[in-house]
Amino acid sequence: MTEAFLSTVVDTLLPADDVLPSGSAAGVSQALAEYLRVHRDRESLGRVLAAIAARGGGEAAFVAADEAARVATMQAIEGEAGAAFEQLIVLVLADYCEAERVLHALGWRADPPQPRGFELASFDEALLAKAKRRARLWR
Amino acid sequence: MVRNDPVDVVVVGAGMAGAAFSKRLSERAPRLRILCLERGDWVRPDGMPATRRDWQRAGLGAWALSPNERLAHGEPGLSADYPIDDTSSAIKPLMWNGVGGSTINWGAHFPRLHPSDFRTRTLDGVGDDWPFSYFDLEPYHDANDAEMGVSGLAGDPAYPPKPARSMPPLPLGRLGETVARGFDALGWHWWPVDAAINSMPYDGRRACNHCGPCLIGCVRQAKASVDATYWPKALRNGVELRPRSVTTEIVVQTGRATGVRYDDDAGVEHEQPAGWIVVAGNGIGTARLLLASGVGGEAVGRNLMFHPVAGAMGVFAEELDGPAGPAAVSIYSHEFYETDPSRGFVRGVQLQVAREPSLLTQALSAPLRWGRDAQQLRRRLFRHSAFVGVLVEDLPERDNRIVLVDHVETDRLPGVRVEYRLSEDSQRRIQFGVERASEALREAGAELVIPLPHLPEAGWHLLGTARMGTDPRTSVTDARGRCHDVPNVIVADGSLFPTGGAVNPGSTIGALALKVADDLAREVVG
Repeated sequence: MTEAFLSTVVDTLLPADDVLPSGSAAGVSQALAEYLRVHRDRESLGRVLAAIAARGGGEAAFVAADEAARVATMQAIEGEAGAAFEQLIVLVLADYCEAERVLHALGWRADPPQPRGFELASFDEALLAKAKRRARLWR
Repeated sequence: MVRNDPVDVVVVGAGMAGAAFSKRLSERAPRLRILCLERGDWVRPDGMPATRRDWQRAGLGAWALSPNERLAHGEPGLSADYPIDDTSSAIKPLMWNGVGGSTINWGAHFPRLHPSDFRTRTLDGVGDDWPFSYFDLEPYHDANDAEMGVSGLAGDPAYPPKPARSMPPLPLGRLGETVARGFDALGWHWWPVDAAINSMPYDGRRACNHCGPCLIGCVRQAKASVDATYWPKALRNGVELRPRSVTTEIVVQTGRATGVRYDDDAGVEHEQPAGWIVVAGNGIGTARLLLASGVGGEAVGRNLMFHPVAGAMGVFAEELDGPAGPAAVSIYSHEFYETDPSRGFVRGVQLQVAREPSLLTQALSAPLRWGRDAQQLRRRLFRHSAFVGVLVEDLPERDNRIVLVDHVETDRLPGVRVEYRLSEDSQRRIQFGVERASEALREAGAELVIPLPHLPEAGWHLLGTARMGTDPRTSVTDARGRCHDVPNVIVADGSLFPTGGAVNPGSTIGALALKVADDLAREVVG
């Protein structure tokens, strides 16, 4: 599969907007290519990508198509391929949501939750003023 | 087969119940030789994924909540899982199989049942009364709270008075404070949860630093899991714990158990003689072993109760916390916990505010997952969403059950299937709860509210499959957890619950295990 085809598939799934980078800009298409090269589950993923290419009239035609046509192609394959398409979605979303560019674009940090953790304001008991006035609720 | 030296008590399962039971009995009856067999292994905190950049996807593989998903992941797992046929179940069971049990990957929300939960037949004409009351169990709750360490605040009007909590409440976060405003505006009850998570250092464990993903283990051990709370003390008391040991059978001769058979991690079969056999394998594992051993009578495996989970997600213009703060614990409302016949059903629901999940979890569970609209939704949700969960009471039904299937799994036990349907009453409670959760979010200022009716992948709570009672046709054990047909086989876990209330059961499972241990100690040592 060509690099252009994989990038186009990924960017159809994860297009750029005024805040978020596209999937390929976030490194997802490279990660997908690597997955297809080494992973033991690559065959079913390869089949769904091949089905997208076939439905789109070939890899080059899919790349050249406008977004609406590509989306229609992907929707058709989503309906037909079931679990294999689901595998594709999970894979690209995992790579995308862990990408530093994506997390930073959303105002979040890219390093893992530990060891830094997060600061949160301590509990303020004054917030309970109204709740404390409630009569007994239990039976 | 290797025949081991006899012990006084063999405990099967090293999770919440097995740990609490073992530690307590080792104190109350220090001369007893107590052995715990656990099919899984210890999990090292420094091997947990929250320190890795790929931590989000850990929940799709080795740290998935579902044992079936972990098995499908295909690599040797940290959790010693067996497949569960859940195709006939409206709710998919979740569990962790290892030292610590499901406290390894739980949310550590630690509420108690209400007093009314022990008397549903008397008060509301449904379910069955427990053979003892809330107040009988209360001292065991207090002891269990002290062992686990509870952050919270006494004075909640939803409960009888409780002692001061071990630590102050965890931060509510902007998310919790926002939803609390909604509850206040509606005049509804809310309170900071009791959480088995340290808000300050406690009992040698560090304070929570609000990292977020409690469900992939706690590297700081700020979250109480029994591998870090009960077990070190039980081991110091002389309890022996053998991990990687799969119990395959309770051996019974002429109405009395003589011990168990188990396989060690080298595949060697052992016969372990014991005076008492204590089963603490959760609502599925316990039923599976009892059924495979022909112990417990006709009610074993029946009356399975989950807590059906639903909820609503609110999207706010203002920025909330994002995926920070302990995942499952902030505030809850018990405004609708007790029966109000005007609602058209008896018993009730808990509303529980959970923190925002990771970006990946949110992306995978969103109504749109790919394409331009999905990207827009992603931006709108992340750091701006709040989830009000709905946990509803699920009353016992004989045909909701665990059954064995006709093939043997690789662990040499029969395979197991869950047969479970949502009752019409549970569905009514869910619908009511989702409407209330949506109402609270709207009142709190949400711009958009997305109802989430019935989340099937939320079967954390596995209850009732070896229930206490007096009639051997409808129950498995007596009030002390002893099987009616083989009285030296004792059940000590959530399987014992005659009813389940509408709260997370971990606190009650621990308290109940302490009580069962005391009941045995009284008989053994007087």
